[in-house]
Amino acid sequence: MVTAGIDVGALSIKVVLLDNREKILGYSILPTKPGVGELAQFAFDQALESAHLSKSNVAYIVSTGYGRRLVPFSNSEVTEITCHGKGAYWLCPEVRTIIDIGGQDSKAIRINSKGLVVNFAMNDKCAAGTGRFLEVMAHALGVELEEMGKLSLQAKKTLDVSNTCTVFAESEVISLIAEGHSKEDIIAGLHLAIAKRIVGLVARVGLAERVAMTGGVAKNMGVVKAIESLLGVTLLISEEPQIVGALGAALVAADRCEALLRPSQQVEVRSL
Amino acid sequence: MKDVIGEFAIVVQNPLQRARRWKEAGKGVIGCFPMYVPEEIIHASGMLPITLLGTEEPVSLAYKHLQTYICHLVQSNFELSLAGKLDFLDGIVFPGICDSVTCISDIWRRHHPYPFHHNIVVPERMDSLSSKHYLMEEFTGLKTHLEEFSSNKISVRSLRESIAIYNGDRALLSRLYQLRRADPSLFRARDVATIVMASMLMPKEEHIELLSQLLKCAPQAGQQANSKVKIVVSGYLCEGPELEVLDLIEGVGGVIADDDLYVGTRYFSTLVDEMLPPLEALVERYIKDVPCPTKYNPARDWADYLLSIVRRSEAKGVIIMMMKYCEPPGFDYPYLKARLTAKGIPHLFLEIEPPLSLERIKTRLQAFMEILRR
Repeated sequence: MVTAGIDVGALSIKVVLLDNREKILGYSILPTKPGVGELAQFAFDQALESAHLSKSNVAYIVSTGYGRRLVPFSNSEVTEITCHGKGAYWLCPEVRTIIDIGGQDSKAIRINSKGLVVNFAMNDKCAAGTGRFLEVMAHALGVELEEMGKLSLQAKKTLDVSNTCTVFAESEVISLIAEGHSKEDIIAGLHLAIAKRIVGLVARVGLAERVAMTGGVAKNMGVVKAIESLLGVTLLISEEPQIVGALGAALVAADRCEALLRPSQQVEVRSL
Repeated sequence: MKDVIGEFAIVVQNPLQRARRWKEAGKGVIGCFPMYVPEEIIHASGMLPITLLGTEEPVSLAYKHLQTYICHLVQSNFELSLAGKLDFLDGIVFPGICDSVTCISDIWRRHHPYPFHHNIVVPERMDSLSSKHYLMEEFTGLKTHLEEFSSNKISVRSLRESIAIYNGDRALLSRLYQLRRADPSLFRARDVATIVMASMLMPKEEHIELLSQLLKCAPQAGQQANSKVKIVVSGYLCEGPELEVLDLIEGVGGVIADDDLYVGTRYFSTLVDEMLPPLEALVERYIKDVPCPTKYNPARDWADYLLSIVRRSEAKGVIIMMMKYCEPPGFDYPYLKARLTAKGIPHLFLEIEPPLSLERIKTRLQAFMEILRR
């Protein structure tokens, strides 16, 4: 049974195709733009293509993320909190805490030994401490988002940047540039600012090892190292951390599909 | 039942209108900041006490006088005043519930005074004999001030009558909550909140009449199993809950079985003892009222109280809705969290800051339901 998970995030749409809960057959990642419904369809088609499948092969589709209600072809929806829990647990059953930093959300999720979410905490209204925060800063610094991690590892020192508001932090960054500080040192400061916010969220749900990090920001080694040093743990990060939410949605899809099949089988038995 | 709820909704949708009409009829209206104002004394003076619960209109004028990190209730009420929307009031009573309400009183007096301006200094400790004496003097002071202002002597008899009326309304509200506990699907959460809120905004006699009508035609508890998840909501210490948030809880599969809200059980669940001398009885009521995070009283434990509400309503989870910048309950939250966790009761901490971003709240509520539903 092939199931699909579609994670419509604030900055990107991710699709995962999963075979019998066992194997990822294909996936796609596209930047989110207005017209989410069509874009989700496009991302879904891309994932199908990468897996050499057609839509008719997919038994059940679950959507998640901010735009989870905007995917017209999904069978049902579930929150990204449940999905990140499921996805991370599938990747490593030893995981008990998940740090997810996505485009506009950062969250800490605690799961139990069965992979079920027991507690979670999310950032408040401001985008400080999220992927969007890094995007804004990359723009202010004139560097590519993808370069930030590498650049920060070359920092000579970590500058102090406040973590309460994206707009204020941006003007701080502009002042630091004007004062002649290196981009590397500033970026290291930004990563630390994000890490400090995340540590607060983790404290609210309670840290339990092992700890996984998911979401696009997990690709930024600078943020990862900063969180690791503050928490004193090594973060588990999958090859493609951005698709963990979509993977979780595909796992939920498998659960729901099975639940749907069960009663109908009973009906068949009775009719025999 | 729908018609009666509609009557309450009209009062709540335009929260000052009923009081304005009362004023136009030539009678006095006193605005009260929430929680520690013994409304019965104002009622006995012949004036109408209404609770100032703020509105959802954006705040702008108040920022001239207040820092941004003051709670929405204080900002919004002051905004209404500066915009002239409270000018029909004869006065305001400020109970000392927190730093913000205590300090706004003088700012208010200076920038937008009303003829009657009164502070009630509420003792911080509620567990000593001296606090009782102190509160007695404060309530007596309110009575004397009202008598001077209205040129109406407040007799023991009239105060007793007012207490009886207020107790009558409290008893009806308790009955409504009893019905809801028996079958939470009987009432929409927004309707229950509307009914309680209306009680703070309209003459009690009218509220009693409407609520009695409603209870007479209220449906009886159904026998069918309900697939909705029973929830207790706590928080919103002195502001009304946003009805949209209550709708969202129901929209994601929850049903509110009981509450620990100011516009809820906190407002009506303890009666004033009608056997005691009236002022003393009012003091007793506030000293022994539901546990209040703004006061120190080891005999009244908030967590015990909340847990008892969860037990009696057989709720599966608690949603704690905390107003941003409301400090007193924020300090108590880690304790509540520990006690709920120790009892294995899942809870969701939801920070509320108007204007609401409902989508974000919905994601949190939905995720919480996903935890409770499995």
